[in-house]
Amino acid sequence: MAELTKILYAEDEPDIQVIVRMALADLGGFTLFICNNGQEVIDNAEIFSPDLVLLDVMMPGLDGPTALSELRKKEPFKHTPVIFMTAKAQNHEIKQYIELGAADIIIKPFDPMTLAVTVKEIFDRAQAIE
Amino acid sequence: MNTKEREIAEKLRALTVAFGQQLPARLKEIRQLWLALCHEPTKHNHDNVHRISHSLAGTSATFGFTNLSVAARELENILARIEPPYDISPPLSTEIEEKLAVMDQLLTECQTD
Repeated sequence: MAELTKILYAEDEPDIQVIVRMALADLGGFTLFICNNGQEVIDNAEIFSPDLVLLDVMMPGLDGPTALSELRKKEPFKHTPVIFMTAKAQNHEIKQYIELGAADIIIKPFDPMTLAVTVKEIFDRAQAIE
Repeated sequence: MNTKEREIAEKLRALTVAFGQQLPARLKEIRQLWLALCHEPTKHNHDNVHRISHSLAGTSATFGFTNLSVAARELENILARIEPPYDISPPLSTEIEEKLAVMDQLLTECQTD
């Protein structure tokens, strides 16, 4: 089973970027590459080669769902687990994100002290399904 | 809680304090962007005030300012109902003014606590 070491993360809000960096890099020990929008995810995915991608849903320019669709067009990322983070998630939206190919959804606000564990659990579950 | 967790928790507390100190400026910016939309009802001005309301709703929830986050989310939802040609006459403008007043009140309460 693959190990989770590198996470590509996209979020346009600097304050939340700082908290996620603390939660996933400082506390979780993962190598984190932070993007400000979906386009940066597409531009950097092949360079960074992440084990998992964490995407905010609403971002200026290329949003999370569009970034996932674009990512899936690239051969190396056809099966890379992708998690959405969102504060606005109705049931039909969650269903839509899963149908798009998301491994899971993390609802904001999240607990920074347990975020790394949550992300790791989702990654392991996605690997088991693969 | 181990040493690293305690260290992170302490950093988070410091970030929360810093975020709280920025709130007056953030609310002032929302009001200025709302006035800009009233003065010039364009997509650009609408996008600006909608985006910053969304941002405040998300960040204030993350930092534990729950009531302010709810009010900002409600403001965001009201703004989302405004469509081209961005008619912001009453009752929509009244709803927005009321929501901004609620947010000002919540900020005052935060500062008093």
